Amino acid sequence: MRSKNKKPKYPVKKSLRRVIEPYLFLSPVVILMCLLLMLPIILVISYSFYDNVLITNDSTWVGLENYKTVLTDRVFLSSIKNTVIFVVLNVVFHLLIGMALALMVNVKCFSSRVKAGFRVVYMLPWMFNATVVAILWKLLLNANGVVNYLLSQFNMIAGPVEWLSDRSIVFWVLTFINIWAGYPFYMISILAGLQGISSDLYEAAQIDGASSVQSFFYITLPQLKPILISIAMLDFIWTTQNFSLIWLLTAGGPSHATEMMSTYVYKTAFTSYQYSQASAAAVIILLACIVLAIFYVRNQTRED
Amino acid sequence: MKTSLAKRILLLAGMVIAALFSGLPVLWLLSSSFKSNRNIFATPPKIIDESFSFDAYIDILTDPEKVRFFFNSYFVAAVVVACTLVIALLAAYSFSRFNFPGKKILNTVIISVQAVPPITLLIPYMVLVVTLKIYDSYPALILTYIVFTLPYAILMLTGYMNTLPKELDEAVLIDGGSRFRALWGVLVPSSVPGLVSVGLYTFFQCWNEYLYALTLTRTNEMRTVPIGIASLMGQYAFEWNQIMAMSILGSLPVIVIVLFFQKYFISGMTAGAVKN
Amino acid sequence: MMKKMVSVLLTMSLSMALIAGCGAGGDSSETEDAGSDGEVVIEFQQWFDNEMDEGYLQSVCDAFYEETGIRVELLSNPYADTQAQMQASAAAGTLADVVALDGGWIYDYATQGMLADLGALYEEIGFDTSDISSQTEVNGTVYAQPIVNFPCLMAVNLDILEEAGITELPETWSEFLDMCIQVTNPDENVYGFGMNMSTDNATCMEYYAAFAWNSGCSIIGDDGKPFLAGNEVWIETTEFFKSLFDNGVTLPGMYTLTDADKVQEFVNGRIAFMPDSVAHLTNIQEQAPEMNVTYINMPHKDDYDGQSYMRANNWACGIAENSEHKTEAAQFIQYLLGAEVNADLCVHAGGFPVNAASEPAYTDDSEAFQAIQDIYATTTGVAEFYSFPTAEALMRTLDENLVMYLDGDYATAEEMMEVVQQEFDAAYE
Repeated sequence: MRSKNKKPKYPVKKSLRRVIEPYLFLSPVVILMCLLLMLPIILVISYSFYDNVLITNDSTWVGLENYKTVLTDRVFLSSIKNTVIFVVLNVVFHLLIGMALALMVNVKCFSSRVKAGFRVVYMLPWMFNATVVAILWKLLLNANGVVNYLLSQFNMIAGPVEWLSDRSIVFWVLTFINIWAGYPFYMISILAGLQGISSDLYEAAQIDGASSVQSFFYITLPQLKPILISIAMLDFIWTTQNFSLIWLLTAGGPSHATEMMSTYVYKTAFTSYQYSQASAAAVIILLACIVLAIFYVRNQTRED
Repeated sequence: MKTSLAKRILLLAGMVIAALFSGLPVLWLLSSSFKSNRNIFATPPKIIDESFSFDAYIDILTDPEKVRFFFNSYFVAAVVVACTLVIALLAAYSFSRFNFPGKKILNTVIISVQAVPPITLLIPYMVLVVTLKIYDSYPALILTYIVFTLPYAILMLTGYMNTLPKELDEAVLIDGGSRFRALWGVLVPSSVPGLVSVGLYTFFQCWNEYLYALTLTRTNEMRTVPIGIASLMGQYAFEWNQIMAMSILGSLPVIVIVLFFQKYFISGMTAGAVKN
Repeated sequence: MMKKMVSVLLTMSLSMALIAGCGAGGDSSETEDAGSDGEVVIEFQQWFDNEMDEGYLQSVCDAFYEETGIRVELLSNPYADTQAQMQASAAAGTLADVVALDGGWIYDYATQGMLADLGALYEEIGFDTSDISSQTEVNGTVYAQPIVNFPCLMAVNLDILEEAGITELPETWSEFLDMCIQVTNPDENVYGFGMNMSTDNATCMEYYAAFAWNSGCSIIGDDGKPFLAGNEVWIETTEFFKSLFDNGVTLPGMYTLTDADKVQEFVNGRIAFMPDSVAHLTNIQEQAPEMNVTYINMPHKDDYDGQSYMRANNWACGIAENSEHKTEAAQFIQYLLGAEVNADLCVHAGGFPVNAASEPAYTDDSEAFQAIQDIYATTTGVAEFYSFPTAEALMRTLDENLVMYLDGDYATAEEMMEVVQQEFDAAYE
């Protein structure tokens, strides 16, 4: 489909202008990101090699000491484990639910008004900020709340379930809430991707006698693959940083049961005032995501 | 493609169940916004109870400070969506249609810079904003959100553009048109669904961001809805129903916008545009 | 170190801005502004305004302007995330002149050099503090000035007690546990005891500590450092606390209950006893006007008959070290502490004056507020955690380990406190 290796059909002048053209298009992004993102990041990286930054004026170079402290902290290690499980579950379920809903509202057999209505309903969880989502689910999952009330009406539970403070279930509850809050982003992205798939492909498949399941696996999925990989990777990075929702629902508790890297970093930076250690933790997260990004970019270029 | 009745019923059932999954909690939010502060927590829970009133909405809409929060949020979000889309389109065009040294590195950097937890960037960022003398102003918020939303926008728009055949814009170049004409005249109209979804995402990011909005502003004149909501949660007093009402009010215009952009999600639209 | 980094950042960003040609375009508003006609403007960043009658705090500032010609600009912040915001502001040099402080932060902010020495400023402006009952010192220097005191006591829902046929109020741990058992009725969603334990605000551990404090226990050792492991009454308090859970008298979901959640549960008549700041009383009265509420001090150990103690809490203010108007800021604090102004503030906030000469004319004549006044008059306030470095982080550690102990992860309270003690000691390294 792509024609990168073919000779361009239009006249090409090997001029300076042609060489710098792609950079010109990129210049606004590069300038903005360098100024407002790279600078602070470089500063954070440098913090991670000093001790007592920001709180005193006599911080000294300590090399990898902060990294050693952070990486030997039992709580940080368990927060990494929690974060990985949390993120993977979120990405997988976001993807599944987002895909299912996008396909459902994309079918041709309902009037566009009906579909429009459903589309808006499916997008609802996305419209509320973390504070409100947290308050809402706290209300619903309160020991005396609606969920327990309904479950007990149907005799599905013996006593009130402590959804958000029972250490054995709270992590899964939190994961569920975050899945609920995040799937619309997938749905919309996938929906936009579906519009880009030429209907010719489906018509051809139909002529060849392919079932709808087959055309999903042989046409829809491969066509959506670049978009799916992109959003999954972005979601991976974002969910790693999810802070507000976790903070407001459980604050990482009870007793570290829902401790994530983001809550760990926050506590280290702003209540223990170990800004250097928080920076070190941040850099570790950054490194992990850079590795991920490299794989992504490689994968993308290979497909070209 | 014809669908049998059984299939349609099954599909409808699936759609309804999914709607309950996403809609019921929000319905509860809506119902709580009509209750008195105390009844929100009453047992057994009721969808509508005797304390039903519009008080919470009236309280918010008659408070000029809170109305200002709404204005700020929409203004900032609108500017950011416009700027992010334009900047990201240029970048996506470059990534999608050119091969140049440093492309891979730039791509990797743009993706991975988002990985630093924003909370750790807060302090250096604040220093930067004060240095640039844009503390407590719209430019501070707008620039921040543009930078935060750009990576996603670039990545997604590059993806959408990659799905559009190269022949489309090359035709313009062959006819002697400029690259800008190829981008604005052909690629942009063909990637409207992508633009809409990226625009929506950008809007929601701006709409929901809290920590930076709080830190980069100091007066209520510059603050946005999430801070307004947080202000209703004091150290000692919570206005639950107003919190709910404020978020409902905030989301209404968004629903209108989504409905307005509906037509861009109608299946087959892009495919048709490409064929012609 | 910080300065060096900031200056590097400064040069880099300015040169970047020049290259990009997008510098200094915004409608910047300078923080250290003198008003147009040369009058001094100081900023007061706080979260009190949101919690009092609308416009009241502004009227106090206006009156101050009338008197001194110094304008006070109120910057109202939500309470949540104030900490992160203050740290960032301090680093960027935009911290307001007068800032509200939570007890748990003062030690750290003071040692980080964010706060000015109030004692010296008071001397400079000639403020006689002999009537001022409390000042928060760190290593012998005053860094924070309490403005209004809010004792933390135990709110009691008398209706629940009455229903269970209880007419007395509990004074000791055993009486308290007995009554909790009597009133608890899960079928009706009524529980004896409800307390916030969410680590989003770990100062909730002070409520738990108040059971010990009111039994004459101190958690500060002779060396001025934390004394938890091997502290007999402290260990007993922990065991007593667990007995509340073991007897099933605690509100479900307590581990992640926040302060606001707790008050809502109380207002809805689900908790008989709730340790709480008296600042919530107005809120409770507004939301549950028909409920019979009173306050008692935290129950003490059965055989204790010494002096009474309660958890002290207050609205405190400090002055930013980088403020350009420190003396004016100090004058403002002096004004807030004036006998009449302080009394009036207390009436509006439902708290108690810091100026001993203040005589607030409270309008609240409820039995509950009367009870609070009676207890306040005879009880000594304690806030021992606040003298520890990183107090909030330490309380969080305590909270986390307490939850594990309550869940049975530790065999004994002593074993758990050994672990917590180690963490507390680590803060001094």
